[in-house]
Amino acid sequence: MKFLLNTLTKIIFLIFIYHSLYSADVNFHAWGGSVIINDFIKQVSKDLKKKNINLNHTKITDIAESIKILETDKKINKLQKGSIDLMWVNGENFHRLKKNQLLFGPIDTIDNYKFINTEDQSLHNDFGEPVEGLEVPWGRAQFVLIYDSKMIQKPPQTIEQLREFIKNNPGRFTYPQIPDFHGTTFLKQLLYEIVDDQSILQKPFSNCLNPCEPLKNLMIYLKDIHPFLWNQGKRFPKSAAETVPLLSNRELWLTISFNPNMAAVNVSSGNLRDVTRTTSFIGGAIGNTHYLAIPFNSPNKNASLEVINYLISPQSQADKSNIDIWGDPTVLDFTKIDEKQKKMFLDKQSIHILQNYQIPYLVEPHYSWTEAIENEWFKTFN
Amino acid sequence: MNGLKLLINQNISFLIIFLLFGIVFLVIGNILYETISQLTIKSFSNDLMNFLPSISVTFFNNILSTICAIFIAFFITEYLYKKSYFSSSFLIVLISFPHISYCIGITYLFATSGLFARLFSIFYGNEVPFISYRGDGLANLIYIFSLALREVPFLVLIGLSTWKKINPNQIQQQVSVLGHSDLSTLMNCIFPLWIKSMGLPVLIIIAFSFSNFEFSSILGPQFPNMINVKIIESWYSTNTELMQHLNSLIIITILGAGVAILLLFFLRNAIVSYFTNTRLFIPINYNTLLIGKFFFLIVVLLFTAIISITFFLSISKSWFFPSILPTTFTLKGWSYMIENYYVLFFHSIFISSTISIFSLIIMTYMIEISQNIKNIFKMLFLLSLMILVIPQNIMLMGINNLMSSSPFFSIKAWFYFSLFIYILPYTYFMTKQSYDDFNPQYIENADVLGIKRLKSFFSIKLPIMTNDFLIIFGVSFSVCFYQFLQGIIVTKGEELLFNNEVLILFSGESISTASSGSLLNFFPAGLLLTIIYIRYRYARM
Repeated sequence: MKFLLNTLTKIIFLIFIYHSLYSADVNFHAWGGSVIINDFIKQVSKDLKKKNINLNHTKITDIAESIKILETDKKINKLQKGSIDLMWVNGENFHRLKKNQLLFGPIDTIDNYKFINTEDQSLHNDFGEPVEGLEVPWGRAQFVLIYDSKMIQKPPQTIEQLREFIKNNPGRFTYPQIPDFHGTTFLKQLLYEIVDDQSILQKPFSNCLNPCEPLKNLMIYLKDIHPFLWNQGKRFPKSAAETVPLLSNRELWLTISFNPNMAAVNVSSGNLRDVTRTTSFIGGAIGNTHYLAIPFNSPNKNASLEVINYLISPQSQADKSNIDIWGDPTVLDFTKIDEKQKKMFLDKQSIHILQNYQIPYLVEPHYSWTEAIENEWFKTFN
Repeated sequence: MNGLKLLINQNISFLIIFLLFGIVFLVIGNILYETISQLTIKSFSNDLMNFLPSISVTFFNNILSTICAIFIAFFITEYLYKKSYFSSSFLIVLISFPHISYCIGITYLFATSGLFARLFSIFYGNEVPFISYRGDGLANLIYIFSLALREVPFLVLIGLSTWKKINPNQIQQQVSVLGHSDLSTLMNCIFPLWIKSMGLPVLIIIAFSFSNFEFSSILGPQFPNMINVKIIESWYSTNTELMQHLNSLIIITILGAGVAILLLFFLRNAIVSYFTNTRLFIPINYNTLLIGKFFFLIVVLLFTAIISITFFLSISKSWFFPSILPTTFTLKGWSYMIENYYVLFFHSIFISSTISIFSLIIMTYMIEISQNIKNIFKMLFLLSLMILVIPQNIMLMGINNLMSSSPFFSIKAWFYFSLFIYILPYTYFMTKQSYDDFNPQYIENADVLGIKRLKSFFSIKLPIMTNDFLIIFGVSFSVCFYQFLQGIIVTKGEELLFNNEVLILFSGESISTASSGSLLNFFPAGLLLTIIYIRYRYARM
């Protein structure tokens, strides 16, 4: 009995030693509001166990929380043992991280980076800010309109058609309240439709002053449609997710999303009606990329790199783009993967989604426009 | 030797209080210093002008909801005391209902496609919800009444204990000789006495209304947003203009809360003096119990409707307008919550229990070893006042600043501390009530018989006060379990309570999962307080 007990203790001790020597914890800070995304990360975490990596998903409300942690760490000189190993980030948050030198890099040296198109500038410029290897693309998004096909036979596909729809169907459309990311993206999309020369949006906002005509025209457009919005434009949903039940209950007939597969995913989970369809602005829709980055003081940089490598592998990307799992479009270049890998990307036929990216891809405006649009909106309506 | 022991023991109580005072001073001083040093008079006055609409709305809504809560609670207290004292214990269970779930429940009830709209559609026959015209006027109204009704159970429970001390039956008999009607007895004679003893609970409520995020964000107006929302918005923002407003907003909130408290106490004195000196209600003979019954029913029905609708949402797969009940059912939300969050769920229960028990033990210890209980209570009152007067979001920002500049303690330690200081005022307040209610004769008799203090505490006080201690633990536990700003402001997501995860899930697409989380969130405190309710039949606070 004593022998058995001793042996058991030794085995447990050895497992513990092995575990501490050969396994690594990666603390992944990512938004935790979506059950679908949480489930995907949980599955990834299970897969990575085989590689002796413990991926812990810290479910945060806003990545700004994590940025504040890093800023504090830097302020108090905590340069080695930070609490964050990996972050899901993009846009103005990336800009803030880059500006304050809070990221480790370059990290584009990982194996599976070879599957990413190095020529595609939309992957290497995050809201107009060069990525410079400080983050690795993880997924893509494109602005779409989700609508109830029983209530709308011909959905709007231009800014003028949208205005007409809103005025003919008062109370049936809205957008998330600024500064919500989706709300701001909707305004940027309108801005693209309004400007004569779209290239101005790729330059810093400081090039468009005294007065900035596109921004002025955007506010005129908004003032025109606001009285016909849901709650007469006096109340807005806090997020795009909040518009899902409104659409399913037909309070709204049309809403916006940044995931072309969002309607399909939500119909399959029962959140939206079967008659839900997807369209977008035919002239082009804003697309952007979301990324993975490693903080400057992550104590597990190698393991984090392995996680990123796994997350951009064809297998993981195929799972992620599957509308039965997450439905987030891939960042991989199909010309760089072999036939067997291509087959993993099931080309799901769904009446709820936009097939084969029919809508031209517009690059996100320079990040400085985000703040300018938000401030102008606050000034005009708040 | 014994004298020395006594001195040391006494000093320990004061030492603990001074230590707590020191930390709270440091926290408040830190945030004020950080804020004021970064502010200029010009930027502050500019912000003050810009935020004037927000300030007015916040001030007006919070004052009005507190006044409504006081009057509703007063009438319900009278009704329960006279007619249905047993039902009052049911209110304990309502206290344990999470704020976030309550707010979400209100939106599900009153939305254009909500439960009431669905019931209406049965008669009207509309397949599509009517167009929503909910503007800020209605939002303000919903905010005021929702916040008021949410605070009523807490006020009633405290109010009942105060009511008993006033001995209103005797007052009624005496003043009826002077020709007072029921209403005038109530308003001219009992209300002034009752409200005078309700200072601290009213303070707790007004301070909460200035720091709450969930009510202002989910139910409050949007144009302009209330100050509480603006603070959190600035806290999260990467927008430099919004971030710059944070310092002004902090000062504005502290001033706003301070002015509101002063105004309320001025109003209280004015109303008391007016009601005492004016025979306003003498000619009106009206059955006041009906008003109390009506409000009590409203509170109970509202909470019941919210719990029911949240339950149905938690088990629904599809539930589209105009269906009254879900069309397809699923338990996915529940299984998701249990599978993914059971560790955090039990961890939160453990943290909340430990902190509540710790708070109760330390409070009882300080009182028991002290020879001068009155002074201890005075000091604790001051400490609680300091904690409560500074709105919670700002206090927590102070803790966060202090934490960033002093690497001596871990995030966990600061997290537990930030939870502890928000349990302390509740523990203090209820412990004081219990000690006030306790008949000191028992201990005096024991002293005469030479029984030591420790022994008399365990053999006499503890058995008599077990009910009270259990309720204090239950309420402190629920207060702690439902904290969530600590997870956002102090630890920035690194340490969380289960409540935080529920809030995060409500920002996502799966309402059934978020609703399951919401009910699960209600479960521990609800169960605990229901057990207390069933076991003791009524609660004496």
